Amino acid sequence: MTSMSVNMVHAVRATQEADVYNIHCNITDYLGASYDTDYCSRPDDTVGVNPLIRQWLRDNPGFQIEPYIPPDPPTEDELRQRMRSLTARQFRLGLVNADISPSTVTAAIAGMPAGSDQDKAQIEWEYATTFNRTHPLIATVGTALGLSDAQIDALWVAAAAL
Amino acid sequence: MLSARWRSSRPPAHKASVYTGGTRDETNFPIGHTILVETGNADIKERNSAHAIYLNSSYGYGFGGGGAQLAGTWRARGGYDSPGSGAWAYCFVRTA
Repeated sequence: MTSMSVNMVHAVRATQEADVYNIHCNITDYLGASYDTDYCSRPDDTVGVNPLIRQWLRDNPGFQIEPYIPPDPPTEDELRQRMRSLTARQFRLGLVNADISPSTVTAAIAGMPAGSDQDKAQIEWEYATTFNRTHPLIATVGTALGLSDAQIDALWVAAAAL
Repeated sequence: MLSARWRSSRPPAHKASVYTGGTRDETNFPIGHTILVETGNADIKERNSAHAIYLNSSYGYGFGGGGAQLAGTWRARGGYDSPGSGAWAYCFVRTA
């Protein structure tokens, strides 16, 4: 087993938790590999290089600790990217609960301009077993049915619980 | 800046070990402990890259959110994209 070490401390940043820091440092890990990394130092963690980092913090009280800066809130697109995928069953039940029958979706796809987009939508509707919120079919069907993004979001969240 | 290498005087803490606790919201895992981390669609984490990992809801781990951050350095050991579902999951190991 290789001896771990803290080779250099580059920066110390506060976090949203008191006395918890993100340390940008160079370490040698338990496999003997040395690299620059971010290390989360918690006051009650007693393993790895954390005791060394805590000792270093005590020995260097004048080292500037950068303040915690909350991350920007996720955009609507990022939130949709994170939404859980729905099974075909959940998706169809969610539509029905929103008063949109499967036949309405079929009709909406049939009403699309003939071409590859319509063919792809038809294939996805018939054969996809799961759907992402950002799946192209969702936007296509949503537009055809006159649904807003917010309405689809609400449908999605409700369907995920079915 | 730290000029000298700091080494632990407690050798047992260097060794990979087995987590024997049962706390749901544990944040301080032993070296070598592995976890599965859920991420968003196509949010790729390259092998051996290090990332901050947080408690996510009551059952998982994530790369952000309001949960407590796990102590230490965590490196990716491989991921899986469930075809068509957009569900990505990565194995991470605590390395320091």
